[in-house]
Amino acid sequence: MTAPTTLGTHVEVRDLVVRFKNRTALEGLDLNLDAGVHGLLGPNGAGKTTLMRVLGTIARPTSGQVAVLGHDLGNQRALRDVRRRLGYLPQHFGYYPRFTVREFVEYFAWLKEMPSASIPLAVDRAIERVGLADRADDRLKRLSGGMLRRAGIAQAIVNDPDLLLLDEPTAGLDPEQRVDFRHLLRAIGVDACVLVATHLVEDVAVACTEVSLVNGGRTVFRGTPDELAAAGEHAPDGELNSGDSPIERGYTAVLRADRAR
Amino acid sequence: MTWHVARPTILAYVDGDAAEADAWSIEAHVTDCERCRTELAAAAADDPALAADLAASRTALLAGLPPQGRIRRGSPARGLRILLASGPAARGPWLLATLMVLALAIGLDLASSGAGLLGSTAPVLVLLAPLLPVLGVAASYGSGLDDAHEIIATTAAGGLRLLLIRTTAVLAVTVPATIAAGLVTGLAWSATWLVPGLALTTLTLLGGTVVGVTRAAALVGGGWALVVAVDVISETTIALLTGPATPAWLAVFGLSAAALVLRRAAFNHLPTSIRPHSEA
Repeated sequence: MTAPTTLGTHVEVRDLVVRFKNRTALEGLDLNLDAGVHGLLGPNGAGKTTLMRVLGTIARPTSGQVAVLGHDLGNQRALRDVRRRLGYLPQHFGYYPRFTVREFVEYFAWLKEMPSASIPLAVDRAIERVGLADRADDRLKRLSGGMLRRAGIAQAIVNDPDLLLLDEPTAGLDPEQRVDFRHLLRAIGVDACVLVATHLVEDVAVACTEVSLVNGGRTVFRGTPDELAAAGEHAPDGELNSGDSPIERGYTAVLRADRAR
Repeated sequence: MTWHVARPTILAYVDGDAAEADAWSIEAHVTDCERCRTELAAAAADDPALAADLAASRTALLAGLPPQGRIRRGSPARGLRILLASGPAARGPWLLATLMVLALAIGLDLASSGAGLLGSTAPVLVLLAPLLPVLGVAASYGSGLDDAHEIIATTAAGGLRLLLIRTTAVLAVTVPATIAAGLVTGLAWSATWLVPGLALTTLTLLGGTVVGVTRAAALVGGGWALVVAVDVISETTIALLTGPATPAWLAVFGLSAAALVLRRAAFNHLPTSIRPHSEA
């Protein structure tokens, strides 16, 4: 374990715009994240995956400022330093079916340029933390969807990242695994910044210390899960289909208010 | 968190001079407060006595761990094996194709006694061998083919470094195989078909910085096929395929390798053509 190397803000995004050829994914988004577990909510097409890719240093902003772990991503050395301290799990991740779980995680430990002496222990610890220790030497093609997802999480956390980006990490996990996973997130979020993009509002309510809601490429809400739930209390009576739990009602209310603008 | 530990108190705590009540209060506070924890760690970072203490307890802790069971020892050999085993599934078919093309070239050259085919005077091996590493590079790095490319792109070693390692692996297969094929057909070792292969490989990588490795391989391969077609149709061996052209191919190799180093930053990001599969 190394001492935390980031003081204060892990992610600082100002007026971020990302445009593809025929579509604008992010339209002036602002976001500041410190250590802790942050939820990123939003409807499909809101720009969550694009934001994750920008923070994961693989998509370039069209304009705006992005600082990750205190670095501007412009120069080669800073980029490399940031990438060593990054954990990333995309929503759809490919894997090599003939690799064992251990080889898969080891491979990414190597790609993240961890010192080779520390790799074996770190790999084992990561596999243990996601609860795959008994399957560590099984080939990936023999694992179920939920186990694959956990192997993906293991590669993301193997280098004790200072910034952990997880896109829909609970897809395919059963309820018990989701509970374990939330514990893991909270443990990592003590020192690191964890950003979880999800459409499962209840995951956010339980695991996250803060929630950002993205709609139409902008941040439309930022606060604690309780504050999001409170936003739903003032919804006009008689409004139907606004959700079953307080936080779902809050989510719907904020979105509807934003659309009405 | 509404309050933070004052700097003098942190320094006193690190030196072991803090009052007992203060020390308790700090310890309770830092379990919840990242900022003070980081500050405390930074203040204690350059205390040699503390560092020695930590190193000693770490050693003791590691010595006392239970046997590691199935943990694999890290070794360069294991690292290399995993590195080479990883990569797109397209590499298996490419390896097969390489062997088949070489076998075909050997067969045709033996049948025509090295005199060429279809009016071309160049041996078939000279025409086909330079394409093999180009296809290999496309098969082992093209981002559409590597399943894990999106995670790999976020890692420190995932750009040019990984590409060069995979290219080296491709060359480590094609170069000996081509030389062996040359020996079998009796052409013996000749730079005529090795150097163009290297030059086309670096050209592909350089093109990859602009249009992506897969497309660059298609362009370079297409260009080479055009040269071969002209050669076959014109019924004279064109200069590009003969021994005297070797220095020119060497120059292409050197220049494209240098340009590749200058343009290495292009491998830092996903190609812009790759969009989210489905925004969720």
